[in-house]
Amino acid sequence: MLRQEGIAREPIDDREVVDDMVRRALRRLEGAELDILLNECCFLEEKRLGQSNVAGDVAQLKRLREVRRRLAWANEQELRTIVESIVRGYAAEIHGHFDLGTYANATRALPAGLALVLGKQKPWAVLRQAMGGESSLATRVRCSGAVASFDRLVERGTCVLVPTHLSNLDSPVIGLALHQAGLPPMIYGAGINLFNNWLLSWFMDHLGAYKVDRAKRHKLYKEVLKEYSTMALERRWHSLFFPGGTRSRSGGLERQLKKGLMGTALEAYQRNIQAGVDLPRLYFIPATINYRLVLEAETLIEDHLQEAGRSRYIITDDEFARPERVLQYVRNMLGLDDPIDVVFGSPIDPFGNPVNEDGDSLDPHGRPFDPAGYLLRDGAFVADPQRDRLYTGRLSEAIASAFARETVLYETHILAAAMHRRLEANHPSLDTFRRLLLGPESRTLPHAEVEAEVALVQRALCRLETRGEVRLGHGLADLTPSELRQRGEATFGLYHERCAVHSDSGASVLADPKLALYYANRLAGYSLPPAGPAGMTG
Amino acid sequence: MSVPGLAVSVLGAGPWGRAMACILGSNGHLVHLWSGDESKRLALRTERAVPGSAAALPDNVVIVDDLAQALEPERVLFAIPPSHASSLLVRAAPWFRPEHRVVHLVRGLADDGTPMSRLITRETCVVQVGALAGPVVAAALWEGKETAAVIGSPFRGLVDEVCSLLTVPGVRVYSSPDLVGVEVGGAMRTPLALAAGVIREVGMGPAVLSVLLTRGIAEAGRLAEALGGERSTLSGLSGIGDWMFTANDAADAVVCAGMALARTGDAAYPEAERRVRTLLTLSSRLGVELPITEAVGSMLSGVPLQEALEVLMMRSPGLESA
Repeated sequence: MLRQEGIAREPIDDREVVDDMVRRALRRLEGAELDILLNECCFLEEKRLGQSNVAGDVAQLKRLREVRRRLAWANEQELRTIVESIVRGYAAEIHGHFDLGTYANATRALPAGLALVLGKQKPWAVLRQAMGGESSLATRVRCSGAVASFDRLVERGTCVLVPTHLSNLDSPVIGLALHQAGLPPMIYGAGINLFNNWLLSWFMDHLGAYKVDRAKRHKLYKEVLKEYSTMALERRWHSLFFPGGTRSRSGGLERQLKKGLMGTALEAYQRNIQAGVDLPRLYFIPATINYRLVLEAETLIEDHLQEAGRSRYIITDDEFARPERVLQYVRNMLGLDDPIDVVFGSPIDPFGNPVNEDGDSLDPHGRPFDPAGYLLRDGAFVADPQRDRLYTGRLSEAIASAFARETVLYETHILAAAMHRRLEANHPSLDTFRRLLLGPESRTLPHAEVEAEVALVQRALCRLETRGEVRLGHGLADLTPSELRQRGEATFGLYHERCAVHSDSGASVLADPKLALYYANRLAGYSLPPAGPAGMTG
Repeated sequence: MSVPGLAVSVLGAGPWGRAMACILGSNGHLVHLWSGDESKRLALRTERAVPGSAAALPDNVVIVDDLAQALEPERVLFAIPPSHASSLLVRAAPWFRPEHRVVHLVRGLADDGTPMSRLITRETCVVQVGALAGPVVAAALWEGKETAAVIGSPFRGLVDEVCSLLTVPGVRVYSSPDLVGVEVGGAMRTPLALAAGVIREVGMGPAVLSVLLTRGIAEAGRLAEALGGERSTLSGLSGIGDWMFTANDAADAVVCAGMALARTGDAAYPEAERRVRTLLTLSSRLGVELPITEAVGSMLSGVPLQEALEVLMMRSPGLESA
């Protein structure tokens, strides 16, 4: 049954949305120096498009050169006309094509479609899934956490879902999780490069995705994008965005979050109250998407470690772009009991305060209060962007804390962390990069030593889990260190080209220290005791 | 320039609270002055005395009995000693609102070592918080003696508002976005003032006093950094500015306590002792070295001056900036 909430509440008139966007964006740009904005836009876009051979880009480049030529002589009215035309183009590009009917059909077909895209399914099995029968990938995504709160809040205001971001599979996985939990559709920003896969593109376009082109780095585009987000929130379209900005390259948890889009919530909230709308409140729902194995881990860690990688903001040649790797990944992941956990955290208001199930913000003693007061001075709304940035910083901290609490750690993370901690203990004078260059002998450790370290990490994580500071994968707390090590090695052996850790003659071999570092990094920032002494055994 | 006619709450009717109420009242604002002590409220209603001054509290300073009424205004000056701050905030939490903007005048940390601003945000829904510090005493501020103070807060709007409220001829009020740094400067005032009293009592001379205060900057800087503040703030009014002023004031209560400590081995000032112990607990928790505070703490525990000094002087000298 389709939940007609958020963007699914009423039919969307795409033309009206784009017109509204243009109107709003121009209002946002009132008082701005349009010639400077346009010059920056032309300069950066010409530079970017000049390196492209794609036909569309070449045509776009030609148009921009014409704009730049006109800029030198343009008066204020002409500048405004040029800005309006560019903004209209961006608005049309960003806005998706959500359609209620298509959404209903697409969601019914989603598990099957994903299985078809991602898995090696026979057509009859796909058909059976589409008819609502047994499903494969769908049953492998386990949802937990504050689903009930989320469920209530979508009817009491506008929800902004902010998940962690590890893989390009995150968007379909979270879509599946929302569908499974009976939650309404959400609009979400997806990298424009993801729309290159025709089938995924079709699904995303009709399931509420809007396009974000991270290669466009000029202010004009960013302002239009922010306005789209604000407009969507004001229209009570529940939204999703990845506050980490991009996939975690290191494998570590996002602790520094991008605040640009987050800040649009305050703007929308204030406008909602001033406009006297029925349900003005906004709620942030932090979520973690947790994988035992990450599809693109090898490319991402390589990118993280290479200096040049820092400039490769958008990776287009990773495992996600290679169908055979995606097929292998999904086929092998389906063999695991719980390969993917989606955990919804407790809701937070735009100022970083906790929210109860009724949608009330709570003070530190759990008393409900109206947060609108944060924006008031002597009873009137006061515009204060500096103050609002600090509020958003507070929200960002609250979301980052929730990420840490709601992250699920698996045997792969624990084993990888234990192996790296052993290397660190045995070679204290080497930094991380030098440890990665150690020879195979140094990377081969007796099982007893590895298991003693695994036990140390496992105990510490169990303590943190008891205090609600992290989550451990199902049943991991009850495993013996030896079982945990074996399970870690077995899971690593399921997918990656090179097994990060495997056993050989009574020893664990750290075969791919970079890949293991990717998984070990997930534990960074958690309070763990120092590694055991060099040469430690159980 | 202060715009008159605003409502301001002053929590705490000690010397600072009354001086602030007096300044605000004189600037034409309506002040809700609250004290937790019923007898003090009664005395204030009848005598309306301002400490260190022959003047009386202006008529627009209203003495209020309950916290609900006290916290009606959005602007709050918090002048409660750190030992009582936590329990008061818990009591007052139901009446704090998100529109409240709170500036505290507390030169000390909460009992658990938490800076006062964090205690306020931890116990209430208030987010906009600041701290006032610097080389000022309540009476001097009221009398308009030339000096300067600093308001630490990341909220620019709050800083501008309080600067405007507290306009007093002869007093310059600066601002700093480093709230924690400003608070650490205020907290470190106590051990440094006690040490200054000791130096004064035993006649160690200006060179030692100079060493004390400059090393105080390094010591407080380390603590500020560990708490998320900036070292450089301690070279400003809330740090060295306040400490120089205090160390040279023989009438300052904490300096006098330091003199008594050197003379008799007993500072006889429990609040100052409590503040030093709080700093030591915090430094141990954060793993930050506070050698001067430790020396003062050991003297407060009965270690003779010579012994405490020896421990301090035997430390291996490191980089001055460390």
